[in-house]
Amino acid sequence: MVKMANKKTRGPDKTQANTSDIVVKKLDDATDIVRQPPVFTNDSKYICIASGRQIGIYSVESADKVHSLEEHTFDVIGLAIKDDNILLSCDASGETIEWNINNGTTLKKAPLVVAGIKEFHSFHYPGNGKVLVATPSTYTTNMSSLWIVDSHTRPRKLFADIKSTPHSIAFGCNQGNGSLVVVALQDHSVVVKDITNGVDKKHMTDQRKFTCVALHSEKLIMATGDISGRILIWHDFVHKSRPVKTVYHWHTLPVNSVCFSSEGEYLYSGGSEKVMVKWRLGMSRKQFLPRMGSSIKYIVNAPDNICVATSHSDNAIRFIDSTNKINRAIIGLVKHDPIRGFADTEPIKESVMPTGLVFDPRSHGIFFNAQAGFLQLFDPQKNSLIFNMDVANRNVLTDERNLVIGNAEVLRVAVSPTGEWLATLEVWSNMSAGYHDMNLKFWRYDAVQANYELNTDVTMPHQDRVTALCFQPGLLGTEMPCLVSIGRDLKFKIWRLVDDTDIYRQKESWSCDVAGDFRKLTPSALSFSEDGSLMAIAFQDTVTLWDPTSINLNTTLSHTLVQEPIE
Amino acid sequence: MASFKKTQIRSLPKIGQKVTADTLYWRKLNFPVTVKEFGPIDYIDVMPIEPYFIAVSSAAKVQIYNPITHQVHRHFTRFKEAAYGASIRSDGKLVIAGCDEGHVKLFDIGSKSLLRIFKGHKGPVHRCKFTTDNVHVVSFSDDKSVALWDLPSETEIIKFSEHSDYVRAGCVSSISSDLFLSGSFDHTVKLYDARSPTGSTISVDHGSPVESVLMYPSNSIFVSVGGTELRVWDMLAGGRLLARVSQHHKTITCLHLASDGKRLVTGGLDRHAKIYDVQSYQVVHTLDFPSPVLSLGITPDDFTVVAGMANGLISMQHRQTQAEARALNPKQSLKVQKKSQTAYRFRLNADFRSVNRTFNPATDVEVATKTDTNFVSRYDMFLRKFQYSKALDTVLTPYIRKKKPAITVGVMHELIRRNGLKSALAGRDDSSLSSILTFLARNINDPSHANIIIQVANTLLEIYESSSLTPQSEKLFLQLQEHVNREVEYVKHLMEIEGMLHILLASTTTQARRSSTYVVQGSSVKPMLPSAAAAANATMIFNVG
Repeated sequence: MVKMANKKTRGPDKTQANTSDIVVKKLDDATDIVRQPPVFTNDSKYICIASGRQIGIYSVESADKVHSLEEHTFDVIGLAIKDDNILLSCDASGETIEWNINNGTTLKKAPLVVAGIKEFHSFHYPGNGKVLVATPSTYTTNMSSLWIVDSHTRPRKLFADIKSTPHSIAFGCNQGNGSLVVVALQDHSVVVKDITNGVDKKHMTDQRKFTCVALHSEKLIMATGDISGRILIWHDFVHKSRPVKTVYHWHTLPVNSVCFSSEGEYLYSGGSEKVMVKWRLGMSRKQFLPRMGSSIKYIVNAPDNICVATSHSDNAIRFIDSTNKINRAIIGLVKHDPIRGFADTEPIKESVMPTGLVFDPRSHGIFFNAQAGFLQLFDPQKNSLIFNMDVANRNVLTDERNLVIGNAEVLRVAVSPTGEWLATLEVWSNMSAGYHDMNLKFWRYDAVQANYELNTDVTMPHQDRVTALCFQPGLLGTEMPCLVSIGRDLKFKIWRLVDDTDIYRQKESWSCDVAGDFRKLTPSALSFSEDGSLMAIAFQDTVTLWDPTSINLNTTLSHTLVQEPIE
Repeated sequence: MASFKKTQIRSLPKIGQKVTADTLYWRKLNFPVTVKEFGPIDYIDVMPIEPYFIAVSSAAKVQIYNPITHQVHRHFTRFKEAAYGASIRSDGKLVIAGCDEGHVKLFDIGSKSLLRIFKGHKGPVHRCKFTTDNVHVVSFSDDKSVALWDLPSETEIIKFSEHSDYVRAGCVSSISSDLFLSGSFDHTVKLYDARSPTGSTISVDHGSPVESVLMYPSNSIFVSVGGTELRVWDMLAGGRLLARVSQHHKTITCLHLASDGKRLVTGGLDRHAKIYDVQSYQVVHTLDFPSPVLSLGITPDDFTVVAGMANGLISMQHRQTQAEARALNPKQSLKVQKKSQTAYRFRLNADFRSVNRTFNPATDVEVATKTDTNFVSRYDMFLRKFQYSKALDTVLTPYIRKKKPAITVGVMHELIRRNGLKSALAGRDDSSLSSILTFLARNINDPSHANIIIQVANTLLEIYESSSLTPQSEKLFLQLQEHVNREVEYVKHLMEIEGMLHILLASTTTQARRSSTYVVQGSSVKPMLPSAAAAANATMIFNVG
């Protein structure tokens, strides 16, 4: 008991460390496929995706992995196609590797030598042996300097103090004569350098911060997105100090990515609205692809102009065909966006992965949070996602500019000892509206359909937040499934499967059998003995033992020294 | 992924009668046509073949009604005193009736002539039946006897006098011409076999005077009613009791099969007719009548339900035909018409497509396919476009507001989720504000919607508290306040009653405990401990206290 108290005193720090451990481990597992923008090969048949230290080459046709390239010892910071068959990659230590795309072999390894710098932020390859690399800025943190590295001349610093994200650097505008223009974003300005003609320009607008930039591959056209959701198209920005600008404003949230189509007719843009907008340049027409599932991080256009790939914050890359439809997707382990709008008193675990990891005895997989309102089942042995289940079945709502709008989030999951029943608790709370909503759902596994079927949906199972769910284990729990829930409304409730069959149909549903409380104390933890014959509920500093069938209070255990609530 | 998910409308199950296939089926009976007779309607029999004439025996006559025109087709008045239990032969040509003199009279329906009189009973004959071979008649008499008669020769074949009281119920087997059942006021039901003249083969005790008996078409089960109970007996197991059902609160008087033998109907003096499922003996529907039901008749196709009542009323209810349903609901019929038109158009399209089928796209051409767009309701359309005020307007139309409040509440819930309630409610004129306010006032005391409605009401008050209102809206706000106050009063009363109940429960449990200890002291019998449920109950109450 004393041990427990000790553990509790350093509680918050400990939990935080634990959860960040978990998250880091997942990333190390090389499944974060959306940290860098993907790159299409020249024939548009393959797409190269950097994930951690690995690079995966996937077929665009089938979205299957063709090759896995593992040579880098640091995280990959940039990919580029050097020639028809050659992929160039660079990691954070500055090592560049050339790969053969067709068979996945290493062709050449070479370190980047830039004024003795050992750390690099991003890597771009405009062609002709020239390489653009961003390195940490000397004076300001979180900013970069951009260098151009050529095989003939010494590395040259182009810009200092530019933003370090991959979309704040762009190159292009060969104007039919092979010239190269490089632009980069600072907070409130765009810096421009025409390498071939040696022209420098700096453009500013107003107080809106820029978020992303893209250059037309041939014409002197630049597109920038800012935090107000406005997209500016700059014409002839190299020569004029006050270039003509066109405003495209549809987004309400910051624009995350802009991308010109490879023939330069269209502009794609995306952000946290989860909508990809396709603008036709020079016209007011635009097309939308709404409800893409998650925020768009990068948009990449294939060289053949048929396919567009979008990287999303839920760790997925989706392919959009020429009819503006998603037809394939490469999905990694789905990442759960931390829940916003919780009170500050909640532990961090509650917002990062509220369900924790729940073992499923049927498939030997692990249940945990996916996107908002989703639950995924992951098989750790095969390292594959078994399925991603829509628990809330609601439209995912996006924020407004000055307003955080919450989504239904799966907070608790419990699996019955046989794995036949799955209980999920989804909570949707809106602090500003002062209203919250809770659903306890019971799902039954259907072996024929191989999916879970909703059996019972209980609105507001407790008056306040449910803190734990637990199925009764052992033989008793297998024969007569029984779920116990505790909540902040000081109650514990026992739910049982009730036969609801009449002459018209056969039906079973769950209903609340017993609701009880103990001295008006808040229940904080819940557990069963292994055979399911004894139930323990901790009420603040007291542990109570109950007989789950008769709901008789057997014993209460408490210690004079323990004052904190038991977890 | 790219499809818009519909707004979830939370419809909680209604407390009370559930809508099932059976309630829908039996609810389709039209408003009854009633005919008034002079005396109570003793018995109703339905001709088993078309046109399903109905024989009604009441007072001193037997009348044959046409169920379609509700007119008397034939009437037989050659009785000195009351006539009882008129029953039609399965070919629909002859009718037989008992009477107070103790005779059984046979009439021809076509010519109305009296063909035979079976004399031999010393008391009134209340029930008589044709056997399945159509040439024998069984009569059940108040002289405590049951007799089998030969029809052509007008002679008595066997007489069983086993009952010790009036025999007022009887039926014959539908398979064998030798088997028949009798039910008597001496509480027994007896099964006779004409081949064994020594006595009844099965005799069971019903427990109260038997009012009616019935044998299932399969001949393995028979049912008896009397008192407030219905009992089901297994004939093959020698009269084993299968079920006892007590759904009426007064004497059950009559019994009938319906829906092709799948449902059982009983009528009683409590003015109800109950319809049971023959497998589970659960009541699936109840029909109400204005007066105690004495007799029931249902045509084999369930088209007409006839009930005879104690005050001499005959009620005939017909099932709604499709033409009638269409006449009652012209809108629906229009919709059906429209549907058929579109179907025709699609058929044309399909034909056209088959003509064009020779078109073969080249391999490098990607053919875009048209996807089916499924139905999206108007409010979902506006919600998808983020037009919150319009979405709210569409669900505040009088029809949805009054008939389907769950939809209105569902959209309000969605607006709260989307944080769009304030903008949807703001800036409204007098008429739309009044429709919202009346909706809130109507539904604020509905516990299933209350939390959302209260939220909406609070937001509404917040928005309009500082704006100047017209007297009309002001009145509606006051009305809403009144509703809330009344609800608070109700809940207060309910809590008081709950408290009283708790005291009562607590006192009963303590008494139970005391009595158990008393047993321990008084005798050496093993002490009786409170049951698990009782103990749980006790702890529960202590916790509440």
